[in-house]
Amino acid sequence: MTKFILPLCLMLFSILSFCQEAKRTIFKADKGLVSFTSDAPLEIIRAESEELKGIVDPVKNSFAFQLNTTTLTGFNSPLQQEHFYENYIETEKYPTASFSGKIIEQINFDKPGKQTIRAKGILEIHGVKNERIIKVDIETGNQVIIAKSTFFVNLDDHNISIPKLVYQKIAEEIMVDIDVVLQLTSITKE
Amino acid sequence: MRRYKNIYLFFILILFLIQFTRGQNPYFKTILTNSDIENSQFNCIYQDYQGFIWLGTDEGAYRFDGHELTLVYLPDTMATASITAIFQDQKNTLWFGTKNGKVLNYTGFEEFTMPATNLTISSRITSFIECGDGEVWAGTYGEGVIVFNIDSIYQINSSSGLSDNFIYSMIIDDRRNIWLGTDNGINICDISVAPFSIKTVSVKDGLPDYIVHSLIRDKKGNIWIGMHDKGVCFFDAKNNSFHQPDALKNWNYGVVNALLLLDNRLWIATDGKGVVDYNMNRETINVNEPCAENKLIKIISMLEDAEGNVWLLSNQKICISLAVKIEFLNSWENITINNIHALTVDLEDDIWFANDQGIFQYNPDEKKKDKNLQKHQLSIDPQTQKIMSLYRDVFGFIWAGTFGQGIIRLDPKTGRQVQLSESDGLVNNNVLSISGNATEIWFGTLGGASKILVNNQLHKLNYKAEFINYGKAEGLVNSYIYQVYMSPEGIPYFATDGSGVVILKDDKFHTINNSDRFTNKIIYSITSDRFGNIWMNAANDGLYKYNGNELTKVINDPEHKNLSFSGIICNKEELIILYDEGVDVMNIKSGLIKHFENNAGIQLINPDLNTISIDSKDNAWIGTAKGIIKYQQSSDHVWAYPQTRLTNVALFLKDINHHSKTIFNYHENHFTFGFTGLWFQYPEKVEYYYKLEGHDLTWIKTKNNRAVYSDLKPGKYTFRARAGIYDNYSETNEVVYKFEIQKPFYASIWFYFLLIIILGIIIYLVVKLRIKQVKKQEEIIQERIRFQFENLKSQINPHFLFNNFSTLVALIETDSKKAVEYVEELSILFRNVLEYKDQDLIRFSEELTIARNYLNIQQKRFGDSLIIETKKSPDFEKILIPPLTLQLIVENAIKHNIVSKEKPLTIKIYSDPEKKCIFVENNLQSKKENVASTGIGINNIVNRYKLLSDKQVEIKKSGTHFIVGLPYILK
Repeated sequence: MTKFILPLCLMLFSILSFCQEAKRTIFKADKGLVSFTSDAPLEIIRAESEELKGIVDPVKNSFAFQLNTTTLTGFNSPLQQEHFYENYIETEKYPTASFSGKIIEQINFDKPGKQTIRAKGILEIHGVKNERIIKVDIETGNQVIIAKSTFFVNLDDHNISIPKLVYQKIAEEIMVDIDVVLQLTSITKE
Repeated sequence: MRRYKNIYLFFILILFLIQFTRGQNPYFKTILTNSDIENSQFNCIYQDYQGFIWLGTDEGAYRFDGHELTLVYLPDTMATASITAIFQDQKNTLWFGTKNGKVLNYTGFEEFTMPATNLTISSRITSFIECGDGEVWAGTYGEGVIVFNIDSIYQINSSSGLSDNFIYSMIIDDRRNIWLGTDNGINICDISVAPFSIKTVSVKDGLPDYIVHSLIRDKKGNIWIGMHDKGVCFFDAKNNSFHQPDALKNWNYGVVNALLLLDNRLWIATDGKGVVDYNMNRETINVNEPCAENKLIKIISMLEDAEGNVWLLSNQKICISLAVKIEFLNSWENITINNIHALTVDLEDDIWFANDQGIFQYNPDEKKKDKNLQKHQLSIDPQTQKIMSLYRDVFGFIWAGTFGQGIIRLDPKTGRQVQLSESDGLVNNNVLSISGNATEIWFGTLGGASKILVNNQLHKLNYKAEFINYGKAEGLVNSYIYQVYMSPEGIPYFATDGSGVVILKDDKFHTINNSDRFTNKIIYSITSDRFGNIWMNAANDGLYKYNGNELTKVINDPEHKNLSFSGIICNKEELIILYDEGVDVMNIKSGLIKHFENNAGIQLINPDLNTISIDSKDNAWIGTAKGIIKYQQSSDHVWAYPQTRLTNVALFLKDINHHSKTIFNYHENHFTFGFTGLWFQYPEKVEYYYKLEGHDLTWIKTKNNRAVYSDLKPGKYTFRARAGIYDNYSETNEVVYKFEIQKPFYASIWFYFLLIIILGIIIYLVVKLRIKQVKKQEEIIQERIRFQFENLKSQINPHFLFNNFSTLVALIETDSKKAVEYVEELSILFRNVLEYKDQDLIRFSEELTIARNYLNIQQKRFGDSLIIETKKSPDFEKILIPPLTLQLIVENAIKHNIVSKEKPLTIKIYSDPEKKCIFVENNLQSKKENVASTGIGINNIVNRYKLLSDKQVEIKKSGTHFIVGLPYILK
């Protein structure tokens, strides 16, 4: 009889602990702010979206962000927006832009404070993947992470070609500003 | 208006900055761009043990010898040809790592092997390292390390204890531990114990950054670490701690991609700011943007090759610096220096030089960068009274010789100056050269030479120089002196304008031995090397060497059309020669020359006389019209001359493995030998000497790197090739390929042997056949003789004669006419016997006539009792028969059978073309008493036929008939 009790207990214990594991917390954002700025000699173009979605996994020290590119608004004219959608970013073909990977620095998520970290991952825009290391200023607070970052995207790196005619109107490098608040959320792990 | 002024100022400042940065950069030359590799991109660079440069590109691996790029074709099974890492292990096997995680081994001759493994790696191979026992580690970008052991291949990754799976670089430290640079610090693997242990070192241990891109070990055992964000630090092996020198703190040159150690300098390749040159001794940095005009600022890899050249690799191009040993200085923070007339180095290794602006003291110690150039005020105007010579004496005083104002003696410590001129006893006020040693100082002028003795008086404030002057009166044949040189033995040498070199020995002036060998006696400069030779150069006439006894002209470079050298000086191993276009450095022992001209970033320097000096560290400092050049002596480990390599041997234009194949068939006689001279600093100057021993009688000189031989005859050959420059071909620098073309089989000894045996057999057989024939012939003759004998015997048989005579008697009585006929027939019979007796064969028709003649005789005797039937046949003319055969058979028949009226004897002679036989048939009616038979008659015929024909004579004896069948013998 005792022969069975020990394995049974062990099994129960492992199931229990597994259930505990299954319920874990991540940081999540649904309404992040992202803005693109093209500072060319003849024109400054700006577009924004508030639909940046993202998660940060504090255990794995990883992250994933995604943006539906059709949600970008702004621009200097509706025609410009149409050009942007159809010719440059090709939203129908590539509706999402994403950046996912790992966080280089160790973040103490429990302790409130400010820190600059590097996010290393694959940046996919216009269907082209590039490895990037992007510096992000983060502020950890009460079950929240506020992440802000400014970085540049080289259009050539993502196979976005600019016609010679508008060369003076679109910058080779687009400045990207990110401002996102991630909330601590519980998820059940599969 | 004010605003514009600022803009001007800004531009001037920009221009100045460009000048400044260009001024101190080593010169880099672009040698390959991606247009050379079909617009692919460069990923990695490696130099193998032979000295070839290997380039990993997106389209495969290239081998580069300075002359041409050779693409090595990867196996077709490869999904990608993108090579991201190259390495050669101690067994000379090359390792290629690809973008998709494959590892290939290459042993040459297009032979690849892929180590068999169950691992499925798909991440880029970043680096290789060998850690003893033939074990090779391959770092991957995302899947840890693959270990290639002799027994097995396994993976080390985060589940084995690595802090991160992205491996950038690997290095082995002094304790044989392997360091892995990753995205999450350094992993140190101790493989001395099994199972090996991994220790992670990261920010909490004092490493400034998490991401470690590059690792390199210096001579002290310290590990230098290039990081992503925080620049460079090093791990102090003694104190077991990380350090960041002050000059490398507050790093703002961006991502560090690669590190390279060059003696005491650390070169740091950055992602966008060129190369940061860190001087480890002075702890200073200097930022270079090599090939900045060509936009080589994102450097991904660096290499120092076996010649001491530095290679910089970017994705788009490769630059090489031929002259890391050359530094060029012409601008300081507030001043640009050019047109230097004189230069010397003082006891503290400060550089003193003079130009039209005055005398400057430069301290090359970059620690004092802000105060490293100091101008000394002079009592004369240097613009009009040019300073032509500088000398530092044993006390540290600086002596400046002027053009027209005599000498100025300067005390560097106090700045006090004393001017000495003709009025003080100096022989002439135009002082072109000053030299000396611990006991005397010499002044070479345009009016002779002056000497002062070095003594304590020199220190005194009120120093009164006592010049001892030498002119024509004292025996100095020429008073125009370009340089006075104090030899290490204390003998002054005078370079004169038109009288060659004069020395003062035992207070007497002599010209040196063999002075008539100077084709031009205007001498500009004199120096000596540590082997005891005095070197001189004559105006427009090049170099001369004097070993104390003999003067010889030295032709160092036949390509030097302009032999107008100015200053010359020696460091430990080399003679440094200045000329208008640049600097030559000649290795004194080997005679090999390196040119530093526009290839090294210097051009038209137009140096004056007496503008070169050596400091205590053997650096040469050269003052020129363009600025100051510092030349650092080449280190010993680098190649001193081009290295010859055999690149391929082709048979009928198809490459063969020349390491293993050295024996060829006689028809394999078309050879192409490819060779190369590795000399990356001047590939275009490399020439070759080659010779095929066994074919060429002399060496052939060429610029072509191929030698073709066709229709080589069988024999033993040795191909030799030497690469060299300036006709300098060393025997030790030779590649040799020995091979043999074998003789064809029909020229080999065994073949001759076989031939003789076969010939012998044939002769034997022929002789044997001949003997047989001769024997047969003899038999025929014998048989014939016997036959004739038989025949004759039968014809003169008394019985035959008796019968004939009795017939004849009867005829004479009855019919004398017939008797005459009968005698005639008889005589024909005997004549026939005599006539045909020597012939082997006669026509059958003839034979039939003979037989008929005989039968006619017999018929006369027997009358109707003997019936003869002959059937003529057309082939009778063709058939041959031994003579008298028919007669013998017929005679035989008559002899053995009864011939009477009651029983007539019928003899039939006919031929049967089907059976190919002639038959003689008679009815058999044997006589009761046996006629004595010799048995010779028929047997004789049988024997004769045996010799003459394949077929046998048929003899059939039935109850009624006796038939003899004679086979046809056709013509």
